[in-house]
Amino acid sequence: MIYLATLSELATGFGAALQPRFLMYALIGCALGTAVGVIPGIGPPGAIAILLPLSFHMDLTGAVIMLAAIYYGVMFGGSITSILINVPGEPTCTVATFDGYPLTQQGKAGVALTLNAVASFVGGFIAVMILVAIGPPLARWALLIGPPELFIVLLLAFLLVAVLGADSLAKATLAALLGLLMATVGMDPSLGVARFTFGAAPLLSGLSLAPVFMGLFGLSEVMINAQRDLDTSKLSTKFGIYPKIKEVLATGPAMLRGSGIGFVTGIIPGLGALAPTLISYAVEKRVSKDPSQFGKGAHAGVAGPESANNAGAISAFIPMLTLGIPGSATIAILMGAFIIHGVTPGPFLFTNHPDVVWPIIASMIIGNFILVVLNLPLVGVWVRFLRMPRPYLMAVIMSFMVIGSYSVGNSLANVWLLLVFGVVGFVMKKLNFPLAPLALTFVLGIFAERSFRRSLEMSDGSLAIFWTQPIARVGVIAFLLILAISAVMRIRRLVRGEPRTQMVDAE
Amino acid sequence: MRTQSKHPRRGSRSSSWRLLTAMLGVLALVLAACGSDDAREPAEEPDAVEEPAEEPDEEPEAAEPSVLDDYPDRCGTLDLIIPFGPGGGLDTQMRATVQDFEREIGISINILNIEGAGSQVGTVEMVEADPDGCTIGMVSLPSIQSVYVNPEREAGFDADDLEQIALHTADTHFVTVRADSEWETMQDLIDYMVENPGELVSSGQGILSPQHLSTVRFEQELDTQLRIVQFDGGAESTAGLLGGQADVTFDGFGHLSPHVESGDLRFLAVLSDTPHGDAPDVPPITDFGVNVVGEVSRGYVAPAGTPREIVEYLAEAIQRVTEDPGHQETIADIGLQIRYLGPDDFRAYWTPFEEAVGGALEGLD
Repeated sequence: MIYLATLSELATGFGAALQPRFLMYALIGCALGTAVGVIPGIGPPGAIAILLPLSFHMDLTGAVIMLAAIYYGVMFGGSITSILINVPGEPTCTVATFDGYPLTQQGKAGVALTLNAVASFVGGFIAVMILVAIGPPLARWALLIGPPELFIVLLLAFLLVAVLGADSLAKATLAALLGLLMATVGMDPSLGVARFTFGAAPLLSGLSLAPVFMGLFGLSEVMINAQRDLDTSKLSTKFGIYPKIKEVLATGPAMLRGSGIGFVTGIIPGLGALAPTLISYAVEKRVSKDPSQFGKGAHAGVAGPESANNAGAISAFIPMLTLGIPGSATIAILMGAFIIHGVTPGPFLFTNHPDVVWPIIASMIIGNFILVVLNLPLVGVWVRFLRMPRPYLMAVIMSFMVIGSYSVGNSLANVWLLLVFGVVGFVMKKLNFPLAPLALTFVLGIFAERSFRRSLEMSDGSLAIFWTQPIARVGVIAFLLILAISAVMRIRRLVRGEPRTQMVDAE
Repeated sequence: MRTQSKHPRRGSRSSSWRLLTAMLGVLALVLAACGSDDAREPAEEPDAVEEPAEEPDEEPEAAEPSVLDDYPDRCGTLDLIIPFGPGGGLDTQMRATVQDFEREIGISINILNIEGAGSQVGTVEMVEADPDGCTIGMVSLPSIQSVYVNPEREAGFDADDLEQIALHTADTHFVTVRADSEWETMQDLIDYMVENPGELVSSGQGILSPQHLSTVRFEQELDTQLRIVQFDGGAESTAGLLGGQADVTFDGFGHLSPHVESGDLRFLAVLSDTPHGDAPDVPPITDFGVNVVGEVSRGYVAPAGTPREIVEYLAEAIQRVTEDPGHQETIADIGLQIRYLGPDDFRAYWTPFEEAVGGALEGLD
């Protein structure tokens, strides 16, 4: 019954969203967002913050349509540079480098970019459908995910480190531990004690994500390019063919899984947009029939995370719209747009202002569609960009990254972070240390520690809380089971005298 | 292949790439400049720049130039540093009302978000600016006191580095529980807390946040204990209460009233000695013999050394803003209350927080 009622409201929303004015806003937002995403260093907070004042003079619906389009446009655009030159345009699009860039190196840039576009649309579409169907009750359900539950979920996610490592479990573990160490920098979440800040005030809030990722993945790539004596004619500038329909459909399950993962993780306030992509990538590798392909251009490795990325972006709106609880800094800025117009997101938003909200939701589908339509033809343009002589390209990228790092909080400290982690990333790449586990533990480690500390605050220091809370208990059992099974299997293999297989099979 | 020249594409092709590179570089600079601060055109130019006549034309001695003669015009724009990120409470309040300020002060305002370490980084930047009246900052109390009173923070500034201009708004905290909980009245809760110390969970917004201080002072007054779970900001803290991870929270009207209206939460008392204008039925906490005033207030400061005349000029402009009905409505829409205090009153209001924060710091262990 409820579903039927919301469908009709969605239809009304569509009617409104298809007005030329709103279509134009969506188009501008998508174009701007893609452009911002493609340029490393400029991120959604910056772009949305610039446009926020302009939006004061627009009606609220139009403003949010445009700002939201920028938001998921950025998610999409960032993947383009990731795929084409191995430099993430946005930290959230880092995962696209893992398999997207190898595809480009094989001359199949077109395949990667098309999969990216389709996966993005699928993720967004599914997310909106779920939002419409059970969004509000789902947001309430998400409230039940408290610190203990979240910690156990993240603990399970850490297990995925084993999957992410390329060849050596030892190297993957080292990388993961380094990531955890990086996650501890800053003010302790419960007691306010400064850790590893060396007296530097900017480090008190921890290592800023964007400069660190840009350094680790982007600057390191620039440095590797600088090291090579690149003959431009040897570059893979071939666009390659579009993928076959069969190939696209084959990634369907990955896209579905990615959408699911992205949606669920996106709706939990505070987790951010990067976690879903990392988790999706690891899951795809785990369930794949041929995990060795990952890192070399596995289609599922491109499609799954991109669906997760976009689905997470959409579902991040749900807690904000239905409960007035923004899940991330960018969503908080969007919420500011509502408040400035005098509309308070929260339990009454849908009942009091349906004419504002439903067009926005309908526009998310429209916007995602526009993204695909806009960008598929543009793909050729982006690839042409590749033909720019590498020295110039790298110089431009580097300047964008430096300036972009500075613009995060107007601080030179972030530029230093960029440079330091650029070196770290470079060294790791040369020594064949996998970066993915570091990314996973760094991003999730911050949340994991916070959740753990809060859980203990809730229980007054008792670890039992992870057992008494029902959802957490399920997670604990799963965790122990997985560990037990993989241990047993490994022992069996040793006993049988079989050679050490790739640890991906070790479960 | 490798023996080919390193630069196979010489000539016009190469120089057109160079041009493109240069253009992209310029674009990067422009975007970064726009992205880092709010360099927007003001909606309307102020109609008449206010130049209060400080010196009467007939002075026995030669007329001294006053600091206010060309203020604020000589600044070009007024830099207002918000020590938090965009989208937060402080930022939203400022952006919703900045036109009012531009109108009364008579200059366009450039909002700079310099976030980090709970307002520490931005405030340090402001303090280090020239005290010429062209840079001011917005602060949240008692968050700002938490920054410099805590020696661990190595704040890099203290109260003497700041000049108070004016207090603008206040948001008093409410003691709030879930509507389906067993406590119907504040007295029920107090009795429960006193009989069961250390059992109830309170959701907080961060170490030494204003809400944290209210909670600790509440504990101290009642001589009991709560398990304080530090979330990250008001949104997560409210989610913690709604989701059942916490039993009680102390937070402002704006955050919580939608949930009280929807029937999910219940206000038990307001942490002040008078009822709150928007919730007159909620009893003040002093009715129950508990003497805690808990609120978050926001005001404006300048670097120490800013001339007194400029401070007063700004304070008077801000006062005019608070008296404007349109502005009052905007503030009410956000769920806040106007509380104007001029420079001296603001200073008097400010100082007791330092002690309160100190007391709470000790209470942390």
